[in-house]
Amino acid sequence: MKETAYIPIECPNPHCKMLHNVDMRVIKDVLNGSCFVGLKCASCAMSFKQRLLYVTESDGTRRVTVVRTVRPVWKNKLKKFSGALNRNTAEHPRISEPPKLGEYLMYLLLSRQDRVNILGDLMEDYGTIESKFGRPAAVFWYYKQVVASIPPCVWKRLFKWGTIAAIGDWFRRHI
Amino acid sequence: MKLKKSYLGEFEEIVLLATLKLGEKAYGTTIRQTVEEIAERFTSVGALYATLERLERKGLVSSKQGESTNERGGRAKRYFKVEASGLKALREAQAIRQRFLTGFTPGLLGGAI
Repeated sequence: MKETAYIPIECPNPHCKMLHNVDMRVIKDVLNGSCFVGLKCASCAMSFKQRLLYVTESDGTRRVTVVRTVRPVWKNKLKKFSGALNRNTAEHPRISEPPKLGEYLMYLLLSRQDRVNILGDLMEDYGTIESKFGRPAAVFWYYKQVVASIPPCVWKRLFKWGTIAAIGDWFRRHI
Repeated sequence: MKLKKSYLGEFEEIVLLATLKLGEKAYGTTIRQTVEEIAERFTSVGALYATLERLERKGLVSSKQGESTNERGGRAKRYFKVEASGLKALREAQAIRQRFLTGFTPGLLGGAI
């Protein structure tokens, strides 16, 4: 019975692609089945999972095949957050991180066409304040902006509803 | 949609003047900072954009999408420009104020005019 002692697995990071020799003993108890091997790249320190298939050939030879590369954990997390707030993090790495709750509240308050511009403006200001006065002051400023933006944003949405808002506007102006 | 008559509110006038002062660099952040510096009042981005959108509906300002930077997380800027009708509205507001102040008794407002 021929058995390979190590199997080479390539790091999924496109900038690294380092080969890791995984000891077969780790998976030797899995016969004719598949298993996942969790690895941490020695070069780029990225954690990833690799699915391996342990097969027995007709002549009795047993070999391990690399099935496919599973999306690394950090990419899944990145996709989740960038999808929620529509951040283009891959092309534009961020310098400072505004509070996520505040950003999400603004995201809910704003209309679709304003979202990109206003969240961008807030992030730019947040970075400036953080560099000048520190993170607590910047977080306080951000939430102050969120709270102060609630009435105009809500009013703007009501205004778009039409007649009721128009009547309200007339009362606001004339009474 | 253009409104029939464009009366300038106090905040609208301040925002319009800040936009005019900044010229080609006028976008949300710079306008807000200018208003806070000169008028010495806290300005929320929500109120600022609501005002700018109202001014745009009145045809006093126009806007265009700009570039994005790393500090903004890749989000685009929106540049504003004061139109000819905006300048006219500002001139009218100034003229009204001037007419009121003409012949004012010095010291009535608590200081020299």
